[in-house]
Amino acid sequence: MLEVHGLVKRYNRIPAVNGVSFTIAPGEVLGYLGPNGAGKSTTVKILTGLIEPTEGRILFGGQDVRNDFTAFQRRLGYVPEEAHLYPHLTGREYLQLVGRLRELPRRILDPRMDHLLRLFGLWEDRHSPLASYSKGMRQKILLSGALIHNPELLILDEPFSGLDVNTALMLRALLRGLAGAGKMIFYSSHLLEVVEKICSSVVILRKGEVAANGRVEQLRYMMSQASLEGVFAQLTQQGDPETRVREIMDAISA
Amino acid sequence: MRSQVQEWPEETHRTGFELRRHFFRRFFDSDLVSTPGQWRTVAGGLIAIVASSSIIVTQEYFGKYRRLLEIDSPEPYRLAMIADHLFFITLGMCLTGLFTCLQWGSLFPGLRDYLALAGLPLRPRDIFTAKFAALVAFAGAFIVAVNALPSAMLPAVSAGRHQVLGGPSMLTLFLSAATASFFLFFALVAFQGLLLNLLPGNLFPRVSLLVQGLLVTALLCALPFVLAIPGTHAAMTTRPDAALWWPPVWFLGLDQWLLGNREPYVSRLAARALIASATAALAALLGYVWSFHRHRIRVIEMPFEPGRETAWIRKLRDAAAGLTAPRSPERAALGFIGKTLARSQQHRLVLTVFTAIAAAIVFNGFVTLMTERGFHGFSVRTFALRQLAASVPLSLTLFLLAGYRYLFRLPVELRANWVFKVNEGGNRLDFLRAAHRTLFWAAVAPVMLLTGPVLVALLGWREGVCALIPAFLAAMILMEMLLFRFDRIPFTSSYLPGQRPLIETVMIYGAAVVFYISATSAVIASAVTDWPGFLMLCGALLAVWAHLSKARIEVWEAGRLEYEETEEPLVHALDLNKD
Repeated sequence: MLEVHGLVKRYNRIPAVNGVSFTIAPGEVLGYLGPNGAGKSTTVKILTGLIEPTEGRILFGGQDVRNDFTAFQRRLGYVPEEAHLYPHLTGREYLQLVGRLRELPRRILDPRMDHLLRLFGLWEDRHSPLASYSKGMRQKILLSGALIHNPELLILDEPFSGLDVNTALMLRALLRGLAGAGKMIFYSSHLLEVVEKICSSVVILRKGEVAANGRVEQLRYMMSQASLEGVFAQLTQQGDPETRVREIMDAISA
Repeated sequence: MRSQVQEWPEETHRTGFELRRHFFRRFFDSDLVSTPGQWRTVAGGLIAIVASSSIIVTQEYFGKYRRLLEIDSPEPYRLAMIADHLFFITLGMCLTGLFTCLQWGSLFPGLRDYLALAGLPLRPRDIFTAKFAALVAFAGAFIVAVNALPSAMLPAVSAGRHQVLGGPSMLTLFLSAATASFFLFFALVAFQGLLLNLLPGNLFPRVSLLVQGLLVTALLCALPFVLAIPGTHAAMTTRPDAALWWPPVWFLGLDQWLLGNREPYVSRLAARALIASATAALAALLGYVWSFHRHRIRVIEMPFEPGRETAWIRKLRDAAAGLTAPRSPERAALGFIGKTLARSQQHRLVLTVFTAIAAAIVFNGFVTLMTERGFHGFSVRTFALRQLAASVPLSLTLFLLAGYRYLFRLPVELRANWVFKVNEGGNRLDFLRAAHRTLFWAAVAPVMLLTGPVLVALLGWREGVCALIPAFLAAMILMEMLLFRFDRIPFTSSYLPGQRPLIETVMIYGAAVVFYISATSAVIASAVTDWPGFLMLCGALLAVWAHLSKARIEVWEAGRLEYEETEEPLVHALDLNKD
């Protein structure tokens, strides 16, 4: 189980994340929601070790990850929001790099790499540089890299970004399958419909703080909303979209 | 056994090794090049130049030492040998310095390293250690490549009755030259580590780029003097105290000490060489250890932000743009080019290298003039002084214009060029004119404004202005020639380096230096004291410029914009059916 307790991250004393707590049990998909600037990416960066929290604890399997963060990283797979990749590597070379850095022996790595490249439809482009990949292809290679070592915890930041419909449907089913196999999935996204369909529980952030944390149906019931979209709009206090649209129309025609 | 060796690189090894291997390979990549592996073409050209020039150098040295060996006294031979050892040690240092400066941005892990490796089971310490190890290995390979050839060549061609060919002399020269190169490399890494730790995070990128530019300029300016070292053999008997503060001499001391010279002065130099090398290596290592946490936070949590413009600068810039570029698409392209040049560190570095070459030529010209016997001060206006003065704006415009022209080919975020593609219709000439205006306002105009007072100070009002006018017209002609077949919006097209053989490029630049700088400055120097000659020269230059300008516009009107640089065909058709 992944347990996050009272996570705080301040930049120049300004909190980007303030007292965030949640847990993910094996087999659970946690949706992590919030408007832009709510602190989702900061949380992801802390979980992956890119930045250190100012306060708070992260427990994995009951152990504080700070005791051995590398051991924690060995057990997680990560798909970043933006495809930060070495542009001169080919798709296959990227997977090889990731697999080797995860110390997968060649006899396991090579066939697994080739399998994933075929399954994600990247086989024909495996020797092309990542710089020439489309957004969807980059996303697929990142997903392959995140799955290649069969991680216990998956941290996904907008994993559906740029994927075609078929791959998106496949990924949706894959996430359910992975959860069914006991994996923990942290899924940060803006796609409320997808979150509603695949997540067992959600955390909604607002200005760096947890505005809601619970099961989707429970939140809908509590907030008297028919959909997660309604819950989200109410909790994050988004302005009336109709008014905003009118203002934009006025601005471009002025 | 053989198959095991072949399979070994393919196997998965320890994380540290894999990370070092990864970082080592990334040193061969460049964001400016769109095709991976293209560096091989450039490297091939470079090796061809080194190989062909080394044949000439070897022959030259062979002849030199044959002549010295014919002299009965071994003293001239010995002094020439010491001077040549100092030359190769200094040259190795200079080239290593330039190499380190060009790799300046890769000396420490970058943002991409941290982001692309995020989530992998790697401690920040692992990334730092692996980067340092890969950097040392990469620099080591370069240092060995630079120093091995001269270390083998010099003892081989100089063997004779005064000194027999032997491994020790090759080895000592190689060891001392390689140690000297490593010293400079580590010193520069340590210096960057120091900047990294002492400067505020938001100031570091600007200061770092400035330091990098200054170092490149200083090293390029030093090259002509390094090449003059073999001619200073007579000074090799002296033991000046000042030399104790001159790093290449320390390593010459180490070289001589290894060859058996136990003079106290030489021993002092050798001791300094060893202490300095150890200190630099230790400082670089400490710099790495000291900065790894701070650097990581700076890179990830403090992204580089360009300096903000004050309101009056923005207004002034907008007013100037409105006057010089009346059409909005041209202004848009002009703004894009200007802001990219101001903010892209890689592009600024390339421009710095070109400027540094020009500065080195000018600096060397002044030193050569001042050390000539016929020089009686700047108040005596000789032909040589007039020619040198006229060559200042010409040198600067040649390398600045060529530098910009080259820079314009290097892409910035290639995929973003759609914004110009979708707006190209009807605006093509505006976009190209923006490149033309950039060259004028960023190269020709500032050079003329800056060098004008220098020419007036050196030659007086009348001659100074008379030298500046034809220099300006020559620069305008060069600009027209460089833009004649220019067919792209700067920074928006893919780039394939090594299209033209490097040797050809070097020869073109050599010819440009001879004709554009030396010959033109000689003509200008003659014309400034002769009114009819001056008027004829200006008239001729003006006519050529007008003709070229008209022809360039005609070509631009007929052509189309390129967004992808394609490889030259292996076989060129003669196209006899065309006019």
